[in-house]
Amino acid sequence: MKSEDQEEAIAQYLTRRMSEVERSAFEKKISESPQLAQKIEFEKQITQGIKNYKKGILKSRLDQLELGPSIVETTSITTKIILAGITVIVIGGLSYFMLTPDEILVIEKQETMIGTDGITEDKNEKISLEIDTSYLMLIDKKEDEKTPSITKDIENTTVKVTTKQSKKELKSDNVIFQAEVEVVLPDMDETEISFDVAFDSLQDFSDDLIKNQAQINSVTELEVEIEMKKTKKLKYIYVGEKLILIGDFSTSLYQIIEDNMIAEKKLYLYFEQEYYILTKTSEKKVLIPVSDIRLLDYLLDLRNK
Amino acid sequence: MTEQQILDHISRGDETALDYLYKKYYPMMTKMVLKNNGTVEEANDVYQDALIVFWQKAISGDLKITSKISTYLYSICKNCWLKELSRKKRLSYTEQEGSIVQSDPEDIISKVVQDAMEVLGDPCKSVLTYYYFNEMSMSEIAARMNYSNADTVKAKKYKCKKRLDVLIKKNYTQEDFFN
Repeated sequence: MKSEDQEEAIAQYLTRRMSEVERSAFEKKISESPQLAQKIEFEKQITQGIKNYKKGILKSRLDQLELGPSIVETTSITTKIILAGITVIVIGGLSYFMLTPDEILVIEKQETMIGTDGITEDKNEKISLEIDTSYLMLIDKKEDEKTPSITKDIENTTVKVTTKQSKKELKSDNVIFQAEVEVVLPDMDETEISFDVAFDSLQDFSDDLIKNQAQINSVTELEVEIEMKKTKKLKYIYVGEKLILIGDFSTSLYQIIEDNMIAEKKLYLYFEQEYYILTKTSEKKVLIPVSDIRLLDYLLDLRNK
Repeated sequence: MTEQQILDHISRGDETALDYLYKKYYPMMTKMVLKNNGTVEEANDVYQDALIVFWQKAISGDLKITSKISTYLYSICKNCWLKELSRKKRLSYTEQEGSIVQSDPEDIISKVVQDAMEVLGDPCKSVLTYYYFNEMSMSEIAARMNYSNADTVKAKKYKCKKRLDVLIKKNYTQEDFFN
């Protein structure tokens, strides 16, 4: 066999391009020639090396992908505290409501009442938005500074963010959506929180959500309250339209997902890469992560929509 | 994107489909590792490895998928993590025994090949990865790289492989010598 033909045969053998008949004939040859067997052993490693080379390229491609703060766990503590005060509600598995970067900038300017016009993608209906932000007291009062910061004295401070969204001129019922978040921050280290950092992450996150913004098509009013506790176990109480989350929710973002696609409306919580089913309960109930892969898949789709 | 659309994109070698899948299933897959004593880095690593295994199977037409992509990917991920756990266990056992852990000769060759591929540059780099990693046929490579026909690709691949062999032999002897 010519050298070129042999090279080709080895390549075909190692990349499984040979037919069954060719393969067994070639294997017979290998068993008869230790020299050929040795060459194949070496070529096998080169083939693997080429595969690993491409694998390395693909891996570095994946490493560079921006996953966004809602997916990546490792957001900085500075960001986490700010983000923890924001509730995201998904109505009918389709709609998101979020503070937009514009509104955050207004907060930065220390205005207490804001009226902002937003437009939904589907119906071009105007949404009036009011944000009552008593946590502005946390902002460093030095106006000259370009980067206002929350200083160490936020120890045991109560953070209250109330967001209201009402939809006007709707054919059917008015849609009033309200999310109330109350966060009592636990003992903090002497950490100085840069708003720039927090806003950047928030902006990325809200950009992501705005892309997914869709039509509000049901009547929902849910009040979410957080009872901060430095415990590992997460619990909740869900009575009427009030949801109380108990535990350490300061570490990252959470989302409430409301599924209206099925006959009976269902609520889910997404927090730190786990999904939890929320059922009505007047007593404290431990949050147990969803482990059923089919349900996880369904919820994943719901969130991605 | 439907599952079939994703698979179609992969078969065309569209790497944005890889990005899409990575983001879509990131929480689900990494959670499995995190819940089973893995760190965030390990979870990322295992998930990436699993996704690339899936990608390579799909791109080479070697994938006989009967379930949802997520289910299939989940099982690859699980296998990858089990493999990694047993490797770690072996490693800690070897460390306890006090023996010196030596670099795997396969890892050395792999590194030499990777360096040689970089030196080789394009179009050889692409021809060889299309042939060995994507396992594309000569005519598919011809179409992808605008070569006139399969025979041209065959000749090109042979020349590129020869050049790679020369680079590898040169570096491998040096590497060998230093070790």
